[in-house]
Amino acid sequence: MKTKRDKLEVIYDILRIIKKNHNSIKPTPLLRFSNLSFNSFNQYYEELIKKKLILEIEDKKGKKFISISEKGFRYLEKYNSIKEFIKDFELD
Amino acid sequence: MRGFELNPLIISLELISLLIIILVCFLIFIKTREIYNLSGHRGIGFFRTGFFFFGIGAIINLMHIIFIFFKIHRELGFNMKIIFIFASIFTLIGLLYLLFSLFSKKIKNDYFSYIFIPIIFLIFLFIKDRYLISLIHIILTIIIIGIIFYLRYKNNNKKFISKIFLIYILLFIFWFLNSIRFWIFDSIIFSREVLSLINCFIFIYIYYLFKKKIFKKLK
Repeated sequence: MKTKRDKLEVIYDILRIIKKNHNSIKPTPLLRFSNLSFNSFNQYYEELIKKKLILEIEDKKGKKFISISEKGFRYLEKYNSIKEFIKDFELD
Repeated sequence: MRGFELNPLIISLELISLLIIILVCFLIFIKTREIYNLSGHRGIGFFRTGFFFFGIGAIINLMHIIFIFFKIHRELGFNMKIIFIFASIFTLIGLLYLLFSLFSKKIKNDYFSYIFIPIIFLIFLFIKDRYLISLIHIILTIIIIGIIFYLRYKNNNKKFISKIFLIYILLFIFWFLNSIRFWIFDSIIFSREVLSLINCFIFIYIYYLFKKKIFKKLK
């Protein structure tokens, strides 16, 4: 059985889904692919916006799209280092 | 106190040790800034805050030695007890933050970590007496080490004795020995130098672990 994902892993998965979709995805498919409940997804979504890891973009028709910010790409790049740092120094 | 004030060799040794400790602490604090900003992980936050306070404690200790060596405290009429107390408090706070980092999941509320700083400050500043403070050090050390071992025992996910855990416990022991050294050890030749050197080597080892495992990956 797969263990429960920790917060860092969920954020990593959300960002990876956006990246896989050419850095532009609507909120509903993102919710579906992220394997989270509606409430959990909304909490993570708010946090990612607040931390400026993702950006909300509206097209000309007023449709909302989500893309990764520069900081978000940095997170994806550093994710493994952060996980190893936490593991090595027993910060979890 | 024994002839520490007049011995330039001991002064130099202590100064070098403290400078190395300051450098290690602030390097770790600065180098972990990005991963903390990105992740917002509480454990990383506690870890870097711990080294920040260690660095501040070492700077105050450095000032203590410089003041004594150049006899600045006599000219300024400065009370050296206050410097001793401040150095001791900051180092203790640093140590506690490092230990919090090992149990960051157990600490549900961040306010808990903010409350104990003013409490420790008030207790130490109110007492002022070095000997009484040393006694409090002993009691605190016994209580904290007891709690740590209990929490460690309860936490089944981690190995009971690990390398990092041992290093933190060693740091705690050396902080404790350092804070009671004038009481017991100052009469023993070389005790002060030995403590400084061992403390410095522990920090160098932490830096080595940090550099080996982290710096390469963070590039």
